[in-house]
Amino acid sequence: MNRKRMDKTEKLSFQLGEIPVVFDIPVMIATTVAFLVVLALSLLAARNLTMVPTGLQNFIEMIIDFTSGIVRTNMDEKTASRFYGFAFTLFVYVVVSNELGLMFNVVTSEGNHQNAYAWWKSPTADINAVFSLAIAITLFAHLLGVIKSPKLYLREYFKPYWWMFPLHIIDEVAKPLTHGMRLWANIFAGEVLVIVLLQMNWLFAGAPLMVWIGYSLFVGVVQAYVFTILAFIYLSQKISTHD
Amino acid sequence: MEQLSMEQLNVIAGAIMITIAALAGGFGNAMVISRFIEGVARQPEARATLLVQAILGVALVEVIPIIAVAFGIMKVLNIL
Amino acid sequence: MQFELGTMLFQLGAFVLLVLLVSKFGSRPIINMMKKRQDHIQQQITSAEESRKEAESLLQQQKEVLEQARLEAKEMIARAKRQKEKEAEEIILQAKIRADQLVKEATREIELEKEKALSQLRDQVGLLSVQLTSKLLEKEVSDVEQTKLVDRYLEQVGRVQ
Repeated sequence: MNRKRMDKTEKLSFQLGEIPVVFDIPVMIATTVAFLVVLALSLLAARNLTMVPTGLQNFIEMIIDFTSGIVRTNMDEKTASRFYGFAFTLFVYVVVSNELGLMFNVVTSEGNHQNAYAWWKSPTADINAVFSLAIAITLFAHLLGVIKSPKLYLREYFKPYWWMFPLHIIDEVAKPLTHGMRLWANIFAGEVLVIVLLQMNWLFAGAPLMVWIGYSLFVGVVQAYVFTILAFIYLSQKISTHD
Repeated sequence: MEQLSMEQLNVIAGAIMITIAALAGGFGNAMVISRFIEGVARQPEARATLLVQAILGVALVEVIPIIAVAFGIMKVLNIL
Repeated sequence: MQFELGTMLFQLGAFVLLVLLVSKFGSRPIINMMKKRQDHIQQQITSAEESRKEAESLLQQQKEVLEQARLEAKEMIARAKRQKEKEAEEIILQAKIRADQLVKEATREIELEKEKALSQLRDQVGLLSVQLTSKLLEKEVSDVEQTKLVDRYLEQVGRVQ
């Protein structure tokens, strides 16, 4: 049994001055695929819009309605309308990314098991990819808060008492950490269990595998929903720094 | 009794993490779902809203256990 | 598991690009279309409401007209009935008057006839009595006596009558 298969992926690395820059090739492939899928979906849906929606347009409109609802529960109508596109893209991209790894499993091995390489996995099952999203959203939220009113933004750190400042710093650091880790851990655990089940005898593991893949599909959607909701909760906390 | 290797210790550590995570997550989810069922029994018409809230609640409760499970799996597979 | 700056940057770049592209070419036209549809539906609802109101008012009007027509018809029937009754009464009255008149005329005629008959009778009786007397007595009676006699008879006849 190859224990390291999950982690063993082809890397592309080089030095940029002092900093090592490492690219994970399967994650890049999966990211590109998810990128193309989401782009194709939305472009196809927007290609010939009709007053009475049918098929794909109807489906995409349903999702837009859903994500816009998430935004509206966190912000007022006027601010919310600027984030509809972002919310839609975030949700659909995370859903597609979550489900990609469940589709199939591509492994190439050179000779023995120790040199087996995985070529296909969910981008969200990679902690770097997820953290880049979570950190980017957090930085975006902070940026919007500073742009809106630097004074109010800073004052938030000393509420309700000045000595709460360290706690606020911990809170701000913990937010992207848990935000990213929540998604990553769910998808990662799901994929690991799929791989573990795949390595067993199919007579013994076939039924649990089917059940688990079905459950993972469900979890992928729910986690994408939670990820989107949390992103907008963090954004609205920074934007609506009231008095 | 011979000395346990680092790899074996990692497996035991991962197993303990997964066990505790499963226990904690189970209790947390049980609380959420039991309250959800109580709510539905009291107000059957609010089922749809409560279901969304309950699934969201379960997903939020699951976080720390699932993170523990993920690290536990990494311990067991010896890749951390 | 290691920190991979390249993966993060690639992911971030892809995501930002995706958000920009999808917002511009995907979701914005769809959201605009959804808004347009909502406006359209709103407008449809408003116009439907208006036409419903219009129809309702028309219906009310129609009902009023109908009610009025019914009242008129009722009145007409009543008037006709009344007139008929009046006419009938008039006819009866006229008939009565005419009958009375006829009766009166008849009575008068009878009276006249009676009178005529009586005077005739008186003349006849006078004549007859004179003839009878002259035949009975076979003698000339003076004019004075004759007249006296006649008068007496007449008186008698009058009494008899």
